[in-house]
Amino acid sequence: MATFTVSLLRTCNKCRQIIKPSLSFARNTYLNSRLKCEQNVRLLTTAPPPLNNSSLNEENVAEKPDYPTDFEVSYDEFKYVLPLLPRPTVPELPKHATFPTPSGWFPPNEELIAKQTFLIRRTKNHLLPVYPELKRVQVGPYKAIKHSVIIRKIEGDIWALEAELREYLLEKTGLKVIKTQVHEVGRFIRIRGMHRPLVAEFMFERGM
Amino acid sequence: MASKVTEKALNLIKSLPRVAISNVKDLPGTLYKKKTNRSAGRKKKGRGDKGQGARGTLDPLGYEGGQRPLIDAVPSEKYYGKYAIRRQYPPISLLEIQRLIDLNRVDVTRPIDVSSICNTRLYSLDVAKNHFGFNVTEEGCDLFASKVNLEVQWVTELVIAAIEKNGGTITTRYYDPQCLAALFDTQAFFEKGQPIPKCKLPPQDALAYYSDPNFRGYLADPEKILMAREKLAQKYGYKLPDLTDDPLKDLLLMRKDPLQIFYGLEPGWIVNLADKCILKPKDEDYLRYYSNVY
Amino acid sequence: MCDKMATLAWNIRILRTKRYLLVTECINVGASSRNYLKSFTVSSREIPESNSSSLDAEEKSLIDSLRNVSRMSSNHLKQYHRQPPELPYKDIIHRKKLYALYGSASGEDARILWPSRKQLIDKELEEKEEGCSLFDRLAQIEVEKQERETALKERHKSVEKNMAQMSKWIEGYKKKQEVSANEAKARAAKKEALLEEARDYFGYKIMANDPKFEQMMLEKEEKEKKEAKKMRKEAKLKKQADRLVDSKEKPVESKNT
Repeated sequence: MATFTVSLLRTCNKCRQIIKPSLSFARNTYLNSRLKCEQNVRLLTTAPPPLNNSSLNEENVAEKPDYPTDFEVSYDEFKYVLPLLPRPTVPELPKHATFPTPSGWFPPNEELIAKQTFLIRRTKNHLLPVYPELKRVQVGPYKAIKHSVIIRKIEGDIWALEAELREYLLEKTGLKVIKTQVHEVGRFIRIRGMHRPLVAEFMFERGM
Repeated sequence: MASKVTEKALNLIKSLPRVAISNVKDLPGTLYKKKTNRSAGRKKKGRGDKGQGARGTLDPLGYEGGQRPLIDAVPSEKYYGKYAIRRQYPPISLLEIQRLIDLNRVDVTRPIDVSSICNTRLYSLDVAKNHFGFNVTEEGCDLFASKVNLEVQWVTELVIAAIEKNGGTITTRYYDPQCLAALFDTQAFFEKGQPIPKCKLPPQDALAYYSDPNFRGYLADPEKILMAREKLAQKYGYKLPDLTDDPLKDLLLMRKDPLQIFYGLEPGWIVNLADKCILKPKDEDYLRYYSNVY
Repeated sequence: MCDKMATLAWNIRILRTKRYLLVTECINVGASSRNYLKSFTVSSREIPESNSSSLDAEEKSLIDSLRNVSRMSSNHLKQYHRQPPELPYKDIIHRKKLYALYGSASGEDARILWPSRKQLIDKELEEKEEGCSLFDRLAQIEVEKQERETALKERHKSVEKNMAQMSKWIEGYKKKQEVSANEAKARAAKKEALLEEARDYFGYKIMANDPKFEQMMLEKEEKEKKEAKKMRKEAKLKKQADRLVDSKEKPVESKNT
């Protein structure tokens, strides 16, 4: 048993023979494998898997020790463990030839940022620090949900940012009032309403 | 001399009666109903004498005294029927996968599976909530542009087309909850020192899906998968890239054994992170157990 | 013994001075102070080097204990330095955990990490008992699929068969509707006629549910009944008379013949 490559090719990787396609990917007996040259198909295996045909003999069980009689310590296969472990930090960005990337991501524009009196830094995940907030409230007999957007990681003139953003939102949404909360010490701005896409648009326009 | 307002007020006071106990009032807002413990020292705790009210044995909401209640009488489609025992597949869209690739959160030089998605620590699964893996949704199917070997638990036709159009491959794979728990938190699993479990086969109601070549099931016939690939390419009108001379062929055609949950590691082995080694059993009984499915 | 203890005590003293030196060196970093410290150490009694290098385990532990100024418990200190703690009691779960965290340094036998042979065999037997061959299960799926398809086909067939007769059925239904409509029309016409008759009788327009009208209807019915009875009687009498006539005529005929 090991990782192997069969499914979509008719030629074996190592021996270059044509594999007769079978119902199973593997040599498991339950799948009634009809796979030929299966030993060559395995790519990542280090040892040929022990195809154990021995059947269960219950009489001998009592005589045998409680735990496995022997085991092998192998250091070679530990290389397969390493990619399975999570990375302790967020990895560095790869070098993209063009922006935006296929998923629509692009880095902050330093030139545009230099013109502003405020700065909103990207998060460690290279995304905008704009989060939706949701609060369940009871207004008399009615239950309601209050939606808001919160912008974090603000540096510089937070009041200028608030004024500019409010103007932008008023213009875009056509609303009469946009309620905001500015926290100078916590360095965040909270905006009532589901304006996350608009806020993001505003920030992209200013190169954040 | 004081201002006109003060003068007026003083004159007003002169004309008013003297302040006495009879005309003194509490200031507005200072009067309040004193909160008392209304059950202390009372036998019946304000619930009245006898009956359902006193004993808290009122009928449940919607009960109509033995008559068939409205909720049962009106026919309804049980969209959430048996939700507690149904398999759940939390969604992850193609756009999100592409974003992970763009920001280098997943390694494209290795096959992408549950463990590589969960190791970003941006997505998580919960066995207690009956999660059985990821469902790849169609959002961002047009802009998906990576050549990947993807192994997920639930897909649709369009997702398969989006991935195969770019020369990638996709497999749908079933993991039982125990294996899934090992996959979505590999570090925690290895620190427990447990042997790597062998993966169970899908239950009967999921077997049809996982042996279907149209959904690239891991138990499907490879030849039928080949045909299904061709068919899908014709249906959506794209040219299927040839994999025989592909430099990434080895990566794209990498598959796990039906019993295997980690690439390169077999069931029954134990990974020790302290010694950076792997312990393999040599006992006949153990080898037999971990390499067979009944 | 006495000598040994004396050397040990001396070692400890040296260690203490060394620690002191380290501290002072940190405080005043200057060549002069360093020289002064050097002179301080040199002036002390000479110790044979071999003695200091070959320290007993006892001595080492003593020295280590002196070095440890963390005031942590021994187990906490060990865990801090990634060494296995000394637990007073270890069950199998603890032992497994220790091996997983500290590897072979934990001093446990790695074989306990696997399930015991009995557990394994039990699991295997259970799987064998409960398990069903994949081929059987796939075949079952195929059978179910076939059943579903045949059921669907039958349904389609029955629908087609019924659709062939649909025009006939629609015609029949329309006829039935027509007949019932005609009947209703006739009934309405009759009622209208009756009402008109009643109006003629009473001299004013009357409602169908009027008791007078109902009475009139009853009377009319009775009248009709009576008339019918009378008619029947007359018919009967007439018949009898005819018969009598016949009987009278017959003998005449016989006479004639």
